[in-house]
Amino acid sequence: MSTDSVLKPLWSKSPVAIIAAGGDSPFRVADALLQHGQPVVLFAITDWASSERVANYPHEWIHLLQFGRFCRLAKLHRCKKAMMVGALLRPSISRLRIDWLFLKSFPRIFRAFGEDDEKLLLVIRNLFEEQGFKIVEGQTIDDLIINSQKPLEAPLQADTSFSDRTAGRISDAEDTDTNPPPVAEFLVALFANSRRRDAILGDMEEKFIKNLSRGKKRAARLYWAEAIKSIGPQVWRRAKWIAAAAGALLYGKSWSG
Amino acid sequence: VLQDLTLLEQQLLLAILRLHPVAYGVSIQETIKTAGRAYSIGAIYSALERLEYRGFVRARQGEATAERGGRRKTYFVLSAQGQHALQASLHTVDALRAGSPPREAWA
Repeated sequence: MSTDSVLKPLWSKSPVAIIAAGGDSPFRVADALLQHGQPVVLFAITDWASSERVANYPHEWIHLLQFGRFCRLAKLHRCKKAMMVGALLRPSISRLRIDWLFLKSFPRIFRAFGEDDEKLLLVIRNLFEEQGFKIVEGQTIDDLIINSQKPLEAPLQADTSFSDRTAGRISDAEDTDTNPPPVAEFLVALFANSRRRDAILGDMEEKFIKNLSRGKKRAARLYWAEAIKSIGPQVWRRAKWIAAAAGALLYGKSWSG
Repeated sequence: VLQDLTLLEQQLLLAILRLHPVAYGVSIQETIKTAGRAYSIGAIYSALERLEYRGFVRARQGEATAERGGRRKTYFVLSAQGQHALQASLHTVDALRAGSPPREAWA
């Protein structure tokens, strides 16, 4: 099958989100798409995708299982289609980053683990589609990789301007992990008001990215300090509501009794 | 009947007024910090929630950026009721200050 016929159903003005794991194949797919004028954004998985090669494409770094982060950033880049490309072996638990959207989806994924692989893939596809993304078929990706073995007809002009604009989030070979400390983030998310959870976490991440210029360890320490100071008022707010509800309940019971 | 404002609430309303119309968590925190007071993001949002509940501020969703992990900002603006409450609160402070002894008399 020619690349043109493979690309026809894929082509759109909005970039295709390539969730890039290890190996060469994510870049071959990206090259094949870029060569035919189809914009792409690489969502490179930290520790798996090659940081040196990722830097040549518009990209964002995500950790494995950061489904919510992927969805937010892909929507920011106006991606409508997504594909998962590359090799992924058993990851280290310490490098996993679980976010709220993944936690919410976890029961469905866990149930599907008991079924066959097709059921698991169907659940994952449905999760992406519920977030407004269309998953590109594995066969299409295979065709793109096969066709990308042909010599390139024109030099590639990857647009790295977007990633350049993301101040502080400079991807280089030294460190691609620009996420706030996950446990601190999780604790803040746990106690924050659900209506303001995104705003609070976004504000704290914005400060963290600014502080990265002072060193990653220092930025992480400042994030933890801010998180601990932020949890108190949120817990207190919840405790007051619970106390008021409990008081009203007891008062009601004393009247009815 | 106007409800009293705490010091934090008063400072938040003043910061929102100063930053209008782009007051959000980080910018509010930095503005208050320049005046010598430091509050956590959690404390700020907790107080803003109270102010929103009382009708003193209104919130609207802003833009998402990559620096925020794709999360949207929430901008706050003062409502007419909030401006009235702030004015009344500041007036009380001004009235009390007017009668206070000169600085030299402070212990």
